[in-house]
Amino acid sequence: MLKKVFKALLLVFVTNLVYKIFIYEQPVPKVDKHAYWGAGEPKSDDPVIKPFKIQVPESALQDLKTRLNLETRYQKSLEGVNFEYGFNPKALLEIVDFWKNKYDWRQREALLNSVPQFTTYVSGLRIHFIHVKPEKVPAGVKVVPLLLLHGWPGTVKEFYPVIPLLTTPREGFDFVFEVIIPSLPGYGFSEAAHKQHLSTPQIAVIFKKLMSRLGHNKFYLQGGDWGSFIATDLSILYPERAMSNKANLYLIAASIYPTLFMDQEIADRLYPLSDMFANMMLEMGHMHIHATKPDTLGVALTNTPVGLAAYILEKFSTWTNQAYRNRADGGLTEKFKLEDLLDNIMIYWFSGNVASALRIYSETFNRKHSREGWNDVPCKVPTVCARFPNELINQPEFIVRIKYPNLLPSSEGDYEVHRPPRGGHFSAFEEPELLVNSVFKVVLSRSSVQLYRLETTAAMAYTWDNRVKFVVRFMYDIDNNGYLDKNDFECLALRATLLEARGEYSAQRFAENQKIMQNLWSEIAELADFNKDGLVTVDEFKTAVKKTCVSKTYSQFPQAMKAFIDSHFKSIDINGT
Amino acid sequence: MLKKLFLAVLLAVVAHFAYKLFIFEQPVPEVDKNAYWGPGDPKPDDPAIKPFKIQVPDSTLQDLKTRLNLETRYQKSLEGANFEYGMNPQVLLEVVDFWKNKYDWREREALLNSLPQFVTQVSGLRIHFIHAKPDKVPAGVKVVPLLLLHGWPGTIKEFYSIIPLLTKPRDGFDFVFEVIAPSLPGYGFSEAAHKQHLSTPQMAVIFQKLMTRLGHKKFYLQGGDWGSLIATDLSILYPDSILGLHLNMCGAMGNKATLYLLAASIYPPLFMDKQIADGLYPLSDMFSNLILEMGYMHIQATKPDTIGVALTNTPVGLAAYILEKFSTWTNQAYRNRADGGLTEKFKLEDLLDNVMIYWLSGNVASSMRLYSEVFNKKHTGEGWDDVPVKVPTVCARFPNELILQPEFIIKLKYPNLLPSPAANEADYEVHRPPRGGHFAAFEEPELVANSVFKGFRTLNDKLV
Repeated sequence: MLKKVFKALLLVFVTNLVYKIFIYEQPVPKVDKHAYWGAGEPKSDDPVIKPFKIQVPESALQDLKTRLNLETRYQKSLEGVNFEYGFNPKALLEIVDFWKNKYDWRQREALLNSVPQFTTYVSGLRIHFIHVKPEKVPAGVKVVPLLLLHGWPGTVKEFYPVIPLLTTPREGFDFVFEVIIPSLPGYGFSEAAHKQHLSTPQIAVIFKKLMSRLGHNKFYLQGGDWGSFIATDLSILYPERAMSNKANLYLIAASIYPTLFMDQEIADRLYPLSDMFANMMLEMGHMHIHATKPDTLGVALTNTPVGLAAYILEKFSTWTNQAYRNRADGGLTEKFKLEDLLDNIMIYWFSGNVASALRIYSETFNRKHSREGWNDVPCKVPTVCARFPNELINQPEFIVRIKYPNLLPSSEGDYEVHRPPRGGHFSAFEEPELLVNSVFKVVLSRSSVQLYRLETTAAMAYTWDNRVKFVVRFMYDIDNNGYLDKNDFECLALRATLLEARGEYSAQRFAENQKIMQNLWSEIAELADFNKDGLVTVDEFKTAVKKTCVSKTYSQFPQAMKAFIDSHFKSIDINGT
Repeated sequence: MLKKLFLAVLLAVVAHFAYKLFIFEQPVPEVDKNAYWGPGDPKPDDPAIKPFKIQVPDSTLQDLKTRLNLETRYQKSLEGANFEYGMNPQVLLEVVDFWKNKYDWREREALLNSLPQFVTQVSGLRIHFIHAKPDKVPAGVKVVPLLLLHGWPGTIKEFYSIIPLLTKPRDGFDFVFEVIAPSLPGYGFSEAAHKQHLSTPQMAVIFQKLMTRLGHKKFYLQGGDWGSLIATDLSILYPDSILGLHLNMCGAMGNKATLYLLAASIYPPLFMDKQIADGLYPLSDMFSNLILEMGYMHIQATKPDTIGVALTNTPVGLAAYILEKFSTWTNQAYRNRADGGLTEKFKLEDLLDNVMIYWLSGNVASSMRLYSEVFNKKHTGEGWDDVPVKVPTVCARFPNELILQPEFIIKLKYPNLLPSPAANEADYEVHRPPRGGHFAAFEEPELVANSVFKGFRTLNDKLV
């Protein structure tokens, strides 16, 4: 009898667990969309959008100079230690020297002001943002809005290198971005909340309102670090609804034989779990103290520019590449220029917004917020995740998918979109080209979370024009130099050889394929290389297709075009036209 | 057959755990007692003991004044927040104002120099210590040595009020203390290690050598915070040298303690009194409060040099960082007070003396490095937590200490713990003083002194 009762209880328990993990879908928690974060009683927002320039008063600059000219006090690091105990004071001394003697704020300020900035009041807070529109847009190219969100210890500065790349129309793409880059509330030139509990969903509400005020009801979203959380919550709150971040559980299940489930690079990062967690512990001290005592640390860092620099730059060293912990200089200038790193610090210093920037951790890692269960709500918006190799933790796709069920799957061909070859946590700042390539190619991406709206994307991606571009750029322009040439066909021959023999290389088959491909190239060059420079550009190819194929029946196509187009168009022609 | 095999395996697993938990005794790990922590190649120590006075150069004071006179930059706290997000900047402004306008360092320095201080070189490091002997000792009263060890964010300053109480003969006691209170290596006026891995057992070796140099082969030990861990390791390494161990922060860690804690959660009143049970259960509250208060530990264990260099360059920031602990660790309810309750139990000038020692010595980073040297794979892999302390131990559990464990759990680590008979009022004074928090010696010197005197007398009586 007792045994039966026990069995029944066990069954109920297991069923409940299975239900909770695999079937139950966490509903979207409620957020007060009218919350007011300004001082005192709620007041209605002044909806005016005002132009903004960074203009640091002379007195603030003088105060900074005074503080930098004080002796930098420090203790020597332990013998043989580089960045293992945190920021190396020797490296700091060099930075302070550069800051005092070579860094010219007024010049940097002018650079930061070279992009149009604005402020407007949202939910009681003055929100600062960069708003850049493309200058000359060719006919047929659509301008689409893109909201870019930074994190900690970043600022809008991180995005300066990607702005021109995103707002310049590129060949092969019939869209270009208009970018909106806000400072998070309490960061840089955006006002800090005066009230408690401004966490990521609440910030998402603020940015949704900002976009509406700018007239954008649909937009693309890109974010890393806190920006990725805010972008996720925004996607949860505004387009559709919501299931379960059982990521840890899957992670443990997968540890039985990691390489069955994920590729070696990611497996090396995640397993053994004890190492991964130990490393997480090693790198998460900041999070712990920010989440619990932000005002203590904040007031300290607000009073010492040297300390602030050490605190922020340590992250730009270790999070760019964890191997930099073992370098005497922390590898800081390996990927960044010192003046760019200092610009980012200056924004924290002049705005005096360090404590409030840290508070976002306390507002997120607390019972109120975590009990709302945001982690378990799936984000159903179509998502692209660019996993840069030096990000602190990279999860395999099947785990990322638990949170982002509409994650665009990565296949070998679009490795560039999902798994860029270089870069760490601050990818926009460190590898702007790679990030922008990833954003353009499927639409948006970055470190842990990237989102895009499929309906518009699909429309853009499947126009005739685009299909031709796509085929040229992604299927034939193997060396990615922007046009078709003899070399691409040489590569195609090799690829065909390897595919036929499932990875085995046969010299004889290669010679045969080479011949076929060379003939194909000669014919295509004959038809499409109008200026006879040995290269076929996308435009030349399109013209040739139009001239020789459009308004003709298939059988009338030149043989080369048939061979070229036939098989490949089919493979991407989603709607069968 | 399969069932039998399964049972056999299960039995083996259970037996293994039971053995590990209940029978196996973790041996004392090896410590290199000749380790050298000075710069470069090992050199023999200069054994001279030199008198020491705190003498801060005018230039250093001037530099501090310049920094304090800079505008104190801060962000307003969130509406309705007191100390819940950390140091409240309004309170800090008042502290800075007092510091700039009313606090007179030269006067404080003279007070700090009112106790005899010395330095001597041990294991390559210059170690600073207070050495206070009783003035007049009546006949029949024995002078016994007591090593007092502070922790973080404390300094020897914490002991200035208790030292006169310990060195003064009292009625009914046939012993009185000669007090040795060193600055931990890398704290205050003791030199910081130049090499990695100076953890608590290594500090214990240094202090044992210091006591030997002072001619004390056997001595009493008292400590709180890191001082308690160093005193514990010292008792493990040199049990024959220790006459008695008195701790005002004590507890057992490790699997067995957790297991007991879990087991007792079924019905805590059966295992402990209400005061202790309220602090421990529900366990989820205890752990989340622990997480709330352990952020400093996490960052100091991982990036001490980053946070260290920041605090070394701003006196205001250093004060905020240190004083937050003197607020919350004295009484966690002070988190919800606008003034953080800082002057409830302390005088501002005393708190600033402690901050000044960190500022003037410039030893903040090295004081924080102790966390990294303890919380790392090398040290934790050695298994110190699981080695029992066999020395007779008195544990004074002050009511506002962050975590209090019941006696049966403390005994896992300190099997020779002096038991507290709950019925005996007088004894309660030894084990469960009525008031006080983490900085007991600083906050309630009389109560700590009473516990030390009475606790050690009881130990002595038992030994005789």
